[in-house]
Amino acid sequence: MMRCISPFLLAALLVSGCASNHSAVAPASREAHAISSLWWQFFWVLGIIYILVVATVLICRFKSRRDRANINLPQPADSIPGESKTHRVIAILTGVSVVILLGLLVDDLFASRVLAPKNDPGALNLTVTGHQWWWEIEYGDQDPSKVFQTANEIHIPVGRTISFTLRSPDVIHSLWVPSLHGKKDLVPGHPATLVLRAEKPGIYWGQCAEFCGAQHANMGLLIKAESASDFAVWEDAARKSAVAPMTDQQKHGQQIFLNSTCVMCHAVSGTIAGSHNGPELTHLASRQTIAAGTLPNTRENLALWIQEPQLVKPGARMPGTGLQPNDLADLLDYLQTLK
Amino acid sequence: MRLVEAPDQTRRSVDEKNLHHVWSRVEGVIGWLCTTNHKEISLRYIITAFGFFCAAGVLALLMRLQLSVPNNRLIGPDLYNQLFTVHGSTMMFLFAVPVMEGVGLYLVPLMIGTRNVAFPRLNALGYYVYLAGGLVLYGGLFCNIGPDTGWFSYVPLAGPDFSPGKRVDFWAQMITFTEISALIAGIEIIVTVFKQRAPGMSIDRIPIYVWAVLITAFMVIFAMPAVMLVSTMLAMDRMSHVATHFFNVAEGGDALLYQHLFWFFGHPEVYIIFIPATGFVSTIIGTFSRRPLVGHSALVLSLIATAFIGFGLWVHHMFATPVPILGRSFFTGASMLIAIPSGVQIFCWIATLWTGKPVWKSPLLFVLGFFAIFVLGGLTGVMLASVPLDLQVHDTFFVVAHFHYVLIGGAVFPLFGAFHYWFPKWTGRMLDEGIAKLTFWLMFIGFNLTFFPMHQLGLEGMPRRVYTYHANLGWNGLNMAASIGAGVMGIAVLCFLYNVLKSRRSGVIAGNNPWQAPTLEWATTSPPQPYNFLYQPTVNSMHPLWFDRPNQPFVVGLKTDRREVLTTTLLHAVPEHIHELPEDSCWPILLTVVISGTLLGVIFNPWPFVIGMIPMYIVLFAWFWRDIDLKHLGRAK
Repeated sequence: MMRCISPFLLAALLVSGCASNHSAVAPASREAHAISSLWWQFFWVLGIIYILVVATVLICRFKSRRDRANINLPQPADSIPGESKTHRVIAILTGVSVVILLGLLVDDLFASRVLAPKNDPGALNLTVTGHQWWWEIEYGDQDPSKVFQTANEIHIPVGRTISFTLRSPDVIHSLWVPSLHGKKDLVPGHPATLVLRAEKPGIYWGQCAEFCGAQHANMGLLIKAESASDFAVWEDAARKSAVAPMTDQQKHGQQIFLNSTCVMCHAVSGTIAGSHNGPELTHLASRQTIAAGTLPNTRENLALWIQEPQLVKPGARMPGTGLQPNDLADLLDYLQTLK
Repeated sequence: MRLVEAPDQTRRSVDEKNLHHVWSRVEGVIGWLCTTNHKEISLRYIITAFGFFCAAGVLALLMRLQLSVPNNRLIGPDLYNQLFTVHGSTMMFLFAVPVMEGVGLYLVPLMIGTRNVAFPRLNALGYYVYLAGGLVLYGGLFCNIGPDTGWFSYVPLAGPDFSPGKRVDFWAQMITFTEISALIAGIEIIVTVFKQRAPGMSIDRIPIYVWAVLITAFMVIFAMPAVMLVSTMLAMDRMSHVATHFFNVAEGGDALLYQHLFWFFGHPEVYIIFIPATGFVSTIIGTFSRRPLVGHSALVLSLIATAFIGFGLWVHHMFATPVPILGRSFFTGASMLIAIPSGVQIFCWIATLWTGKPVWKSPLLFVLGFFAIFVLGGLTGVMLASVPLDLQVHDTFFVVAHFHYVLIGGAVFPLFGAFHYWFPKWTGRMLDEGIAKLTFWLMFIGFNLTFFPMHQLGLEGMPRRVYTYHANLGWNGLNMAASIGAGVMGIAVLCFLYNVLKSRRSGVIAGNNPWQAPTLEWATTSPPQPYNFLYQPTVNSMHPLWFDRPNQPFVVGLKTDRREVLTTTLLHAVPEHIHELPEDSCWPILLTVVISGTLLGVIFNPWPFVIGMIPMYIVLFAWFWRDIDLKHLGRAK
């Protein structure tokens, strides 16, 4: 009994989940819409089949309620009346199944067409590189001076085709932002392309979907879809070098940053820090999260992450720094200027 | 050798005494270790596999405990990753396949009316190698060097650069152990079914369960070499002395090659688990519906079709990787196609229940659970065949829900049905029907509470294999429900264990054929004697105990002072010649020790491979030397 109503329970739950920013059935792009409507078509067709099958089995159960040892010796199949009729019913049902499956297959191929990469000269080209366990993002441009990098947070304009080139230098990752598209694997040695066009402004949550080691669970990212004008403003800001520190504390903080192990992995444009082993920090303070979606970007969390990264994200590549409290405070002052 | 209607009583008791002397094993520990009786070995398979099932279940409960609340710090990522890797590897390699083989190796010789499997010593070797493989994996886990790269161990993550240490090597070697064992069981079953069927059991009279096991055995032989190959290539890539570069991208190796080879095994594996379970379902439905199955031929052909198509859809595990679009469409078509033979089977089963007069005993109840759960898993499988839908739900909890519906619904529920159905044959006593029904309901409710919410979690963006999740993503309630359900399932398994322990001592005496079932295993005592049948039976129909004449002839004339069986022709089961089976032997277990030492040593250094050859040849030499066996060492007194 319970099993019969559960598809409807599922439907009810799904409707309630529609406000989510990370759900395959709360689509916010052309591609996610195509998949979501395909999902609902499959859901209803297969759901009805399920109910019919289970109902038939239950009828068998209650048609004959014997469970006592009233056991008779059976008849051979060829002497059972109506056997050929039963065979005909099975043949017809099999035929119907074939037709339904063919219908679903055609449905599937039409949805696949929407997802097929198309050549759009106006597309925005982004390269997403998966690392253990964070995302590196590069905004490409014809003019090399306009190319810039960021990490773990992607801004895209609504209504414009975005073409992601996906790469991985270490292990296999998978980019998945459920409200915008299905996932695509980042396989070393096999660059891939993911094309989507966001339709609704918003901030969408995604995370790595292919098991990639110790911190697979904390490899999240945000995609912020915004109007073309907002995006242009952000893009201009993102291309700029980091602002120079103003106060003494900030200046001291910058010196700590540049004279410690931070620069082995991190880059801040406009300074000598230029390594890309870890996330780009030029505009760190403008991001919402740190450590690839692990913590909200607050001063306390940043302090915790710098001092005790292995507590926050065991196995992460970032070592603890062991800074003195006043040095840490100055460093935080500096990092918080990196808007 | 000739066929007679019924030997007289004096002759019977003499034969019985002689057969008992020849076929039973030497008393004591040595006899226990050296036995080649297929029933003893199979029960060890079943009990060992069930032990691994419980162990992997405990790992699952630990995982559900960790995931019951967000940001839980109970289990860290290092341990969690070992837990899900060992859970998956155990369930696939150490539980599902071996338990199906164990039940098959017990029942097939009885169902086809012979005294033992075709190669009894090889059969013992298969069991011991499997046991050694399982101990290697769990030894690793208990020493905190359990594998942590998933039951699939994708490269480059499982390669030497990203998984230093020996963890993955333990996994790769466990594969070698278990696949040797699986191949042995496959060969065993094919030869036994082809050559040792009772006279009269022509190919159109083979019971459906035997068909299922036979088809599975062929799938094993074609699928398992792929995974042995790929795990060995991985081990060679990892071994610093060898350091091949099959999967090293920087040296021209390919990460996708690994996935193709792995899933060329991995998808048929699902059917290797599922097809024997359909044999249980068919058998139970036939017996309790009190009629022959509707569409027996259609059922057998569906199984064969499933086995063929099952090899043609492995790429649907790789839809998110950069494979060409046209290729993906082909695999979508193939994945949907396999729903058709499964559909035919479902229709035939329901038609049998509909037109029969079902008796609702506990085995049939588990089959009802199978319908409710497996059909849902099959339908979500159709969703996964679609590339766009798969791109959303692949590698999420939706897939976790899907394959637990297919594997627990499609294999574990029928398996529990089979345990309840054949327990009387195995032990001579009935399981308690009331506890059996309680077990079923706890399991059914616990299962759905655990796995149904996971569909929703997957759609809402929760990926698989995460050791924790944020509190603000809306996944908390459903995860808690799943964790509670897992606890209920644990109680169901305890209920079953209690029932087994209790009924084994004090259950109702079963008699030869408590269910009035049609197949030959019910024609002999419960539990069967070491020689299975006093006189090998002959058959005249597919349901000998239902439709054969009461005076159906027996085979007499096989010698009773040595282990003789009758071999028959492949198609018509016409008696062909008499084949003598070997005595009990200590060589299988000694060979296992040598193989295990060699394979374990190879984890650390390639030299044990060379050194291990020497004792291996010595043991094999003794194995094949006709007169070095227990008969001459102990029995002949």
